[in-house]
Amino acid sequence: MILRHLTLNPVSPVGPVMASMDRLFDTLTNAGTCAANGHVAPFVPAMNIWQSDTSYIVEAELPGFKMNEIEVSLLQNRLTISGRHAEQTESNEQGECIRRERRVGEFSRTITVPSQIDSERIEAHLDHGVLRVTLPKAQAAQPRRIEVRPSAS
Amino acid sequence: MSCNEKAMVTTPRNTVPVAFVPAASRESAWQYRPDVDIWERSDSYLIEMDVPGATPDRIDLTVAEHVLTVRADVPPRFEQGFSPVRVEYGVGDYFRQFELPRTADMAGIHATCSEGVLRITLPKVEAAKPRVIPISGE
Repeated sequence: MILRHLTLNPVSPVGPVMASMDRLFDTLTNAGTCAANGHVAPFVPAMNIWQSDTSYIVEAELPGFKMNEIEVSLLQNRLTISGRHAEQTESNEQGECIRRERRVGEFSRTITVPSQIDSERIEAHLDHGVLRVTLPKAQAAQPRRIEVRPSAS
Repeated sequence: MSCNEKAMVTTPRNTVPVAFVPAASRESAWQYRPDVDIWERSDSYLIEMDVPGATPDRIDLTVAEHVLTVRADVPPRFEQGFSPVRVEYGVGDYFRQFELPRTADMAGIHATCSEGVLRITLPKVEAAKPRVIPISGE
């Protein structure tokens, strides 16, 4: 079972893997890739969402963020996940930039969950850069079986 | 600039698979190209690579012939009894290679991984480090 859906410009999957060879040291060819403009601006993290009869799981990949830098909140059925680095690492400390692709700014995203949530039992875990929020559905929102009885005629 | 470089620049996120790996032995069908930042210091290079979901024991780092190869196995993450509501990114293995400069000290490469970020430090060979040349007076 393949659970993948591509939303961003897909590169031809037939492209040889060896095409990804990068030059580390050629600053001339890398000069254009260091502009920080698009990177320090807030970004919107992608999310994957699953559901079962009893709960939702919302997952986002947030590499580089620590637990205390991420905030998860629920207001009625609006779930907000936001984050910002406690201290900005200065590029001086890291050296001169040769290439910059990673998204390192702050982020915030709010999604509306279609069912009522039992807000007391929400759990969030951060594991190797992957945030996973489990939202149990409120009892009233869970499916229940209605028994069909013969009419009492 | 080679066409390889161009492909790199237009690749926005690690959500884009770089290769389909049909081998049934793999846990994940898709391979992703992880995003990197690269920094040059006076005595070393630093590669920071986003590998969310990869545990350190499943990251494989090899150097051969001045080519650094990073592979990470990432098992699928969905649970029994759950069906997808929205899928905005794919989950799969990571793969990326770098041709290293001659100034990198192959033997001194070391790496750490935390919060889904792999940090690879490549020291420069002694001859490539900046040094102060004393000027002798009369």
